[in-house]
Amino acid sequence: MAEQRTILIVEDSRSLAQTCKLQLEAVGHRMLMAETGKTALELLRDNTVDCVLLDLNLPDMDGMDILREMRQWPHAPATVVTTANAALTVAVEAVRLGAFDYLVKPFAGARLVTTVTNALANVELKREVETFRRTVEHAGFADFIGRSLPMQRVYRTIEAAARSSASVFITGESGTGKELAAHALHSLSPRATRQFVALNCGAIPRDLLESTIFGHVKGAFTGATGDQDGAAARADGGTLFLDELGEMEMGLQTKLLRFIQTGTYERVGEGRSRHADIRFIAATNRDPLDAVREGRLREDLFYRLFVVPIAMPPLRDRGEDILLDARHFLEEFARAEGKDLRSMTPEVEARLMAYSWPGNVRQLQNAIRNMVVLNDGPAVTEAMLPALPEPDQPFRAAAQANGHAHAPIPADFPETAETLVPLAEMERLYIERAIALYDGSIQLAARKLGISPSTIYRKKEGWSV
Amino acid sequence: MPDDMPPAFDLNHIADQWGSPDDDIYRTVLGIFAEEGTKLCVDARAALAEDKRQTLERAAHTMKSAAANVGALHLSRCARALEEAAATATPTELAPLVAQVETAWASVSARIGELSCNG
Repeated sequence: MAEQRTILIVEDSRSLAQTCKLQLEAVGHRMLMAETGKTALELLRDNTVDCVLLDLNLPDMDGMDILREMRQWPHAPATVVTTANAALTVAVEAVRLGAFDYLVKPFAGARLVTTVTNALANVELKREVETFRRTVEHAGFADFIGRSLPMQRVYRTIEAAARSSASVFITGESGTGKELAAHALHSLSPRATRQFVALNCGAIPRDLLESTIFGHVKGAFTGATGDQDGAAARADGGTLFLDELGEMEMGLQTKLLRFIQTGTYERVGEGRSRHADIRFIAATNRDPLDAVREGRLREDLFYRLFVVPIAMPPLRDRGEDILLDARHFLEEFARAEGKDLRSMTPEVEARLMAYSWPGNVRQLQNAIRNMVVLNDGPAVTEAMLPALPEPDQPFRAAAQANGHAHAPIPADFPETAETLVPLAEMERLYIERAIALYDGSIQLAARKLGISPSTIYRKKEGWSV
Repeated sequence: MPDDMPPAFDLNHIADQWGSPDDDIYRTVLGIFAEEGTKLCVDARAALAEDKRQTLERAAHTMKSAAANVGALHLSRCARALEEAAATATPTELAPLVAQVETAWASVSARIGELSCNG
């Protein structure tokens, strides 16, 4: 069975449309149907379509006009034109406008499946070449660094999905770049000129999350001293990224589902409906189906958002990307800190490659920052490497050395006066490590550290300045 | 029905396109075509009465392709003749062409009914 692709059939005859649908479904493809050109353009805008089977003689427009429209798009689907008119001029014109092939009605099922399979292979190859060309030129894509095969797949999905308004669900371990992926989807989309609004549902107090998303009116709750728009209003025309969706309470999930379905919402304390045109991207670092099974995530909301899935690969599966990332961070932090560190010894590179990076790119970034802050010299040596804890050994039991049996000491704790770092820097390393140890959950990390999540968020904002 | 009427379905064509008239997808599509063909005939008759040429041409065009798809080649040819005349012929010239489509459709529809009765 072929890999599942989404195919749009644009055909006003129901029996002909069903013929194509049933034959292509039989080889495992997902089908969308449009009887008019207008519906076809709407479906193309709202879905990531890989191939279009396009009848040229439509009730409301000439199929050639749809070809002309798609020709302007950067990642247009492969198009196979279907026509009852066997004239060569029609076929030549369709191919000139970008169609991959054409079928003259009536056509046999086997011919249809072969032609569509070839068209899909062609568009896939084009996308691979284009992504590979960009990746090789820039050693990455959007704000990502890396050219490994798992990341090439991610880049291709982002490129293909960016143009549509289809919802995207990103999964991946903490630190794998889920927000970067969401941002890339936005910045490559026609919505790029409007706002990208990111919310971490796990970090915002539950009673404030509804107001944060939808806004509120004066007096809606204690402390609501004036009317305030929420993320929905700010992201109108743009993209709303909801991280840690499984942390959202069920009542609010119901309101979010309604918002996604209808495009309308109400500010807290306001009776009037408002409208917003938003592309939704959700993310979680846990298996979303587990959250559905455990009753923490509404099943209908999950499937509403899980239109285009993107699975971010862990850093340990990205091979040489580890070194590409490490060199990039070394250069960036050395420049920012005014240090001379410019390279890593082969031994250091071997250690970085051998490590499992449970905290992924974020952990690598912190390890490199740690080395740059604490050391100097032309090259990073093994002695400069911070301890790299395995998931079940996050801290070095330095207690024996210092005689503090119950006071674990962070692995990076400086041991000489020369290597002491500012308290704020140590606090940052400590908080970031705590977040990484709790799989990116700021709420859990904050609870363990005895501070509120909002404190961590405030500090994170300060760090990014 | 006249004895010299062409067969409703061209079995060679069905064998080429579908392998066999017993193909599951073919049977499903035939069921859909049974509804669609009836509607297209009604649309064509109404368009002729109201002298709506574009609607008439479209109904004939859709019938031409849909009929050919299931191997109803005589019906498809009648529909093509109507489609080609729809824009320019007089209503008097079009009336027998619409009637030809209706007659061919009646034959196809009856045959579909027999097939569905036979399982």
